[in-house]
Amino acid sequence: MQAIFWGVRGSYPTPGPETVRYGGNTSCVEIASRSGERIVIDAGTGLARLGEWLAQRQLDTGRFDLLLSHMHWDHVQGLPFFAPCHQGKAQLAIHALRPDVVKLRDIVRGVARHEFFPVALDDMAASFEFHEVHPGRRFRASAFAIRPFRLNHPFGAVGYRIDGDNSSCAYVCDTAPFNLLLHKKHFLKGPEPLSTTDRRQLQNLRASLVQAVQGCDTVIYDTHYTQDEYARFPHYGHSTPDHALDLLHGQGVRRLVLFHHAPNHTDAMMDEIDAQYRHKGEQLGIEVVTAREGLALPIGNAASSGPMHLVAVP
Amino acid sequence: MKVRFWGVRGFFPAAGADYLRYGGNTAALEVIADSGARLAIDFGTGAVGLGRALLGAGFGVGKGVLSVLLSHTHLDHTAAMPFFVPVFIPGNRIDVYGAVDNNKLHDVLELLFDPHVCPINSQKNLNASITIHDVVDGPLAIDGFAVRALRVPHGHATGVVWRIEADGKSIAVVTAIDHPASGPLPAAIELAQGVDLLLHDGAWRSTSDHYARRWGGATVSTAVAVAVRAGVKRLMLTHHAPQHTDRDLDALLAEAQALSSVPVWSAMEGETIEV
Ligand SMILES: [Zn+2]
Ligand SMILES: [Zn+2]
Ligand SMILES: [Zn+2]
Repeated sequence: MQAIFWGVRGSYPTPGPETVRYGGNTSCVEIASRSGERIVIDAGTGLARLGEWLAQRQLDTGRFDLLLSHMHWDHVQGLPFFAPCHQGKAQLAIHALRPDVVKLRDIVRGVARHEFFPVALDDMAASFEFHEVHPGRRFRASAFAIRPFRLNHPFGAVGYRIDGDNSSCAYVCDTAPFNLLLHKKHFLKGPEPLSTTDRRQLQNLRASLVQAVQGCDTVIYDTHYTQDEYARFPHYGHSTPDHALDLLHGQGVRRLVLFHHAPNHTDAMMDEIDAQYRHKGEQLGIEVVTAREGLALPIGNAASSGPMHLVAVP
Repeated sequence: MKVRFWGVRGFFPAAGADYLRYGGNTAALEVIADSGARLAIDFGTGAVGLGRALLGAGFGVGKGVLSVLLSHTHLDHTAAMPFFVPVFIPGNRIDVYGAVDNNKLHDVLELLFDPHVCPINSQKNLNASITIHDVVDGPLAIDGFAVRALRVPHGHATGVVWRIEADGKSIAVVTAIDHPASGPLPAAIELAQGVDLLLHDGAWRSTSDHYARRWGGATVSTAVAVAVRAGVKRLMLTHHAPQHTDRDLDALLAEAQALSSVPVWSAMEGETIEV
């Protein structure tokens, strides 16, 4: 299979001369099988570019499985601008965690509403299905077997392990590490003391993540911060490349993709981060790749999914 | 009076090498009077840069006072409110003016911070003192400026167009409006009458009004018609479509210039112009 990165940025889009090479669109990754079936993970502004790319090539826009990690703006704001949403024959199946009593359809309606977008969900031409994701309960989407697991992020988020074409990848975004604090439903001004139950829950979260990434060919991980930045904002729900390597080391993972770059990280900073962690990864036996917009990354047997290359983003 | 363009894109941001000259950030403007009085228009992603720049102007130490006029609540005009750094610093005073259908702008903006979509959970968790005002048509008391608001139809949302005067100069910001098929909205023409600078959205070619119908926003010919009818001194096109590259925007500007008896420019991110 192949992962194509349409948006790699965290928090908010960052157009401009300093982000041209790594990209300024927010989270959106396409996973494509050898035979051309695809799923899309997260609907940041990168999704709008994927929609234009599909439209330019007049590619089949029948059914789309869209898996959401959570509904923070940087993961959903591209949805109303995704061309297939406005095509009568398109069918969008949205898979997402339901973090409270609000029904999935109503959460998405609340996002794609007239007050925020020119076309609201109920006025879109495509038909929509909503599938609740339950951490630990496997499901199929397109050509892939999906295994969702819970992450440590404000108001809840899920990651996904994706198996297909005899290869595997995992999307671990957004998440804080699993030691200092436990994200729940309330707003955190800073780290709060952990109760015994909190500590146990953190251990469980970490254990289910470690289990899910066992032997993965490629793990795409929320490595938003540098170590210094994390020290200042540990309660914002994101990790560093060190957290990711720490967790993945010894789990049979072949490759780590740094993803969800902080908006203040210029191309020059990303080059430094890339060099630093490629080196650190080498020492641990993990190939480290820094995600950039347009990157098409073969996963598993390279011979069957082609070499790494860049797709021309419209 | 000066205008600085922090974001000139409409709909959603345009990131990438093809959008660098005009800029890819969504709507945000800063207006500065000769007296030093300042106001901002819209909270698109361009407002992130404005917020950072303001830290050096008192907002970094909680001594900032700012009025923000919203043209409407679509995300390309509001998305950066949770990322506008001055809202996190205690002591800053920020007044936001705008209008929505049910006269509860506060409640609509609160949805931007809802825990499903934003880790801040509520405007209550912002440390600055923020007051949200629902405007009606007519003049508004804002220090250092004479401001007039007019509510207009914009898709299923309500838009507000603004006239701002200071130092004997005037600008009109008309970027969230659906003009009737019969021609420019008379009330908007009246509001923009004779201004030194008209900022009007003109995202679409005169021939692509199917885009205008789906996404809203005006064609360049509509923008020119407003400018000519209102007798403005110059027209500046803004709210560029995210699919238009720098070269597309050059062509769109040329199309507008060919149509217009009024001088036309196209807004570029990072530019400051003297009105
Ligand atoms: Zn995120
Ligand atoms: Zn998040
Ligand atoms: Zn709008």
